[in-house]
Amino acid sequence: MRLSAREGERLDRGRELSFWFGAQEVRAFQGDTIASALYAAGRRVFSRSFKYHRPRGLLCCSGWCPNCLMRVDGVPNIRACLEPAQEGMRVEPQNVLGSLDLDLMEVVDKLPSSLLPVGFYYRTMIRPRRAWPYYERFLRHAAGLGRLDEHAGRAGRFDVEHRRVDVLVVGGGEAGLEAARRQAAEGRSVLLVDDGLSLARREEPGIEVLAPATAIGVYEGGLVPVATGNVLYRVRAGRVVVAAGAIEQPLVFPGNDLVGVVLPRAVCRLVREWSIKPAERAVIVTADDRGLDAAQALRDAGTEVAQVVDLRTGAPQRIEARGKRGRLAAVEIDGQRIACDLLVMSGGLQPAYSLLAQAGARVEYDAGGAVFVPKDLPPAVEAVGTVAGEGLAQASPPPAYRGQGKSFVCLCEDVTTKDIERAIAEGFDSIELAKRYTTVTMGPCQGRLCHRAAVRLYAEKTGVDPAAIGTTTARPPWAPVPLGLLAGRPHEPAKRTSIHHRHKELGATMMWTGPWRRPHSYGDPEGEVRAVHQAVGVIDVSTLGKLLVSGPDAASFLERLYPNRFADLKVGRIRYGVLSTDGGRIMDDGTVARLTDDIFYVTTTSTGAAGVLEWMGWWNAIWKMEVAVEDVTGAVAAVNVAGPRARELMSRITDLDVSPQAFVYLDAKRGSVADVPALVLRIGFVGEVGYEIHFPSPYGEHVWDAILDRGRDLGIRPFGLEPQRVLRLEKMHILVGQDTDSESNVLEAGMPWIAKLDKEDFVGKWALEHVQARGFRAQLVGFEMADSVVPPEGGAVVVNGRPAGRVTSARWSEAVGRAIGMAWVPAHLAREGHVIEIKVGDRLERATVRLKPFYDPEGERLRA
Amino acid sequence: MSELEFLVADPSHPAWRSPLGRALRDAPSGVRDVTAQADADTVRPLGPAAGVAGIELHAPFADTVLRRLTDLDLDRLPALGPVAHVRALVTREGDDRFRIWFPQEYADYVAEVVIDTWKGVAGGSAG
Repeated sequence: MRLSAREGERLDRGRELSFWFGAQEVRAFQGDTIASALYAAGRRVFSRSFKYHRPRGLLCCSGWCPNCLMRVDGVPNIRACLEPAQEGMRVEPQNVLGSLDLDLMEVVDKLPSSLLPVGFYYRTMIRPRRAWPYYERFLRHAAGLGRLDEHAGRAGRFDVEHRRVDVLVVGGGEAGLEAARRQAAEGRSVLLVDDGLSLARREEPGIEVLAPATAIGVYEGGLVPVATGNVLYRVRAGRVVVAAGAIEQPLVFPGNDLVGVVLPRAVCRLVREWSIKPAERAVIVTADDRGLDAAQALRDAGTEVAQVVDLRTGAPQRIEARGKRGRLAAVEIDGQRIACDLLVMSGGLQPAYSLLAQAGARVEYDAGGAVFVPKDLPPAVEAVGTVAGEGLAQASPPPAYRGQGKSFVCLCEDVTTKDIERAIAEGFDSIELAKRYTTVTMGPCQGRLCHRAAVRLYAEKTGVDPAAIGTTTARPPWAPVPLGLLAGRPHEPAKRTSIHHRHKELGATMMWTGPWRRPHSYGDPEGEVRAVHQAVGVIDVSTLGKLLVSGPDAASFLERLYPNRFADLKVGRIRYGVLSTDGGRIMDDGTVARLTDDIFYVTTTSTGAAGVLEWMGWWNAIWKMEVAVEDVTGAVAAVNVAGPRARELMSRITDLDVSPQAFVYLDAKRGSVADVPALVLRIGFVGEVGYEIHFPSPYGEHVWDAILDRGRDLGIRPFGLEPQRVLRLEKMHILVGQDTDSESNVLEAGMPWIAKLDKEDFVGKWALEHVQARGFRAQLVGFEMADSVVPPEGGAVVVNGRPAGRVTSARWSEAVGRAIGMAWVPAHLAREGHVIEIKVGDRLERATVRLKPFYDPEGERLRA
Repeated sequence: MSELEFLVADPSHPAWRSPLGRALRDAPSGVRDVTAQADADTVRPLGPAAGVAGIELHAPFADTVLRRLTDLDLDRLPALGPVAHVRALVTREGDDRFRIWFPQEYADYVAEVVIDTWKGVAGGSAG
């Protein structure tokens, strides 16, 4: 029942709103939470318990317990006691089969507890073994709390924001506020974080306030993630002041989970903040003054307080709550039955030390107050107020009362005193082991309401001092946090060349190659291949890694790094190079052009630049040669112009003499292309006369446009990666990573001419010598299919019915007139003309081994 | 022609195009393309100026947007570090003005993230 307006209430009675609870429209005031509005509307059952599906009502009204978890606008596990009521929101119960008031799964609670002891599923559902998947499915369906909608999109926009402050104060109660003011007065930047329950004012001079917000952990270096709405603040603080206060502790007695059994703060909030009369007749059982304060709040609200039992003046022998259909009906204290619909229980306060423990504080048991308190705080971490144990009254009720019915130690996981006792009897005599076995402290409250009770019960049953039992490990997150908030905005960095938008305008289908977006083709891969063979094509190869290796030792450096020779490379000439690991495995390939005596221009694969740069830096850290390596990949765009009419096109756009005599295969020349400075490399990856033009990236679109414009009458077409893969396969040029793997070496990959084993030394030399000495086990070869079937890449090469190799690349080649590919085969099969079998689907297809390029095997067109 | 002229671009050359030209065409007023102002010495840690793009962020959301993209200490700039997972150099140009310099191949991506974040901070409006 809603009371008349009261001083200090949080409600704005001038602003009414309504929301939906299932099919019921619920009216509320601005300032109500979902729970307060539902309670005012008469609802008492808010959830069903985790295991037994017992009805549960409001317990703490502070966001600690699991009793008001609901699904709000499709998002599960929202604490209704903290979530502001908003117009039109849709609230639904969760973890029920039927309705909140009639949950069919409640049958579990009616079963004898001997059938469902702690960890029952480990023992009772293991036979027959083959039925376990069905048991598992049933258990997974029955257990758990809220369910995620697998088909839902992101629930909202989440961001992560990085903040740096001198001092972070967690908790806006009296002690926290005082600490914040003190720090601000000393000129420090102060951020105060509060859950919105303690802080009276949201503005403080010199202090930045985040509320409602929750610090969910303390990490190294003063990193404290703070969750607030849809933003996770990653706060780096020079000093962390924890003023997290203390948490009310329930008492453990039979029926302590009935609807109507509450903690004092819940009563005080219902009455004082939301002006609600919580019940008609109440009983108070308290170990501190908080119960007395709740009694006063109840009297103010017009609730009859039938009896107040102050445990400090003599604890009764028995306390049992009696209920009907899960709702409190009476309390029996030492045999005296008192009819009531509300029981306020207070077992004292437990400092909320978890953040301090995460920061590295030691947690010690204070026998006088029967509480755990933080000690030995690490540097730059401070505890103030009740979290430090200050001002806590002596409150030491019995660990647990026995009687008929279930006594819950852990409400989140439905762990009873019997469960704990059974775990001890079974030998789980450490609190950490028992935690894992019984799951006590592992639920949504993360031990706030059950940790102390569990330890004290352990102590009572085992005779071990609670101080010796100790605490379980405190780990983040201290408060529930949506996974979306931890993830933040999804960022997927993509690299694009300076010509990217031209490709899109030309209708290219884009694909990923490593971090790059590249054109797969421009809609007609076969036509693009044909253009390169018959006229001229152009491909954007800006993605190639590009490194400048310079210095007096540059030539010697490359000589030691690569298996082949570079010391004798003449200025203005290019050589293909394959980098090997120190184990002799192929790691990358590319070209090396000598620009001057001391400057080499090295290209790598599109995905290899960073690795090669690191590799070079790593080796030079050992060799200490006079050489510098600079990554210029982004600064330089590159296009490859290839085809029988490429020379003619080049002659139109460059001031270089591109005649066959002046610009021969593997020449590197600097000149002007389309009126911009360029480095032109006469190389070919695609089997036709080719020029690779390197120029400053910002001129990318200009050069691309000029090439297409001046080549139009020559039949020029842009070509993408797919045509390029066909063209290079025709030439049997390998793709590192596609045709090689982490075991491949240059000798077995069919490039023995790369490895100059007569050099004094190079990276991987010993390994290649070893391969040479032991003989080849497998070899990379080309193959032609007997008919038009294109085998799958990765398909097995089969010898005597067993897989003995694999296809690495395969395509249909119009120029060759059949399906071609490359494959690793046993070395004894690597003979020109040998017939091998390749598995295609369920059949074995015949293919012929080829050791020379399928297209222009002598390279006449390439060198023309 | 010098050996390495093919590494150098001149923003005054008629062929020069900013990699951010398209991406920032409809950007909020507090987000600006400053690629052409890349000073070779300033952006040197990222490589040659021809390979660097630059975005300037103004008030009112500049610092909040940056804090959502990087954990660099904005009180200690210039600094090199990840911005939206991309290695970048962040400089301060005034009380409420910052510049992000980064490899030009990430121009579209960084621009998209910056604008998206800006709109998120501004509450959906482009500012």
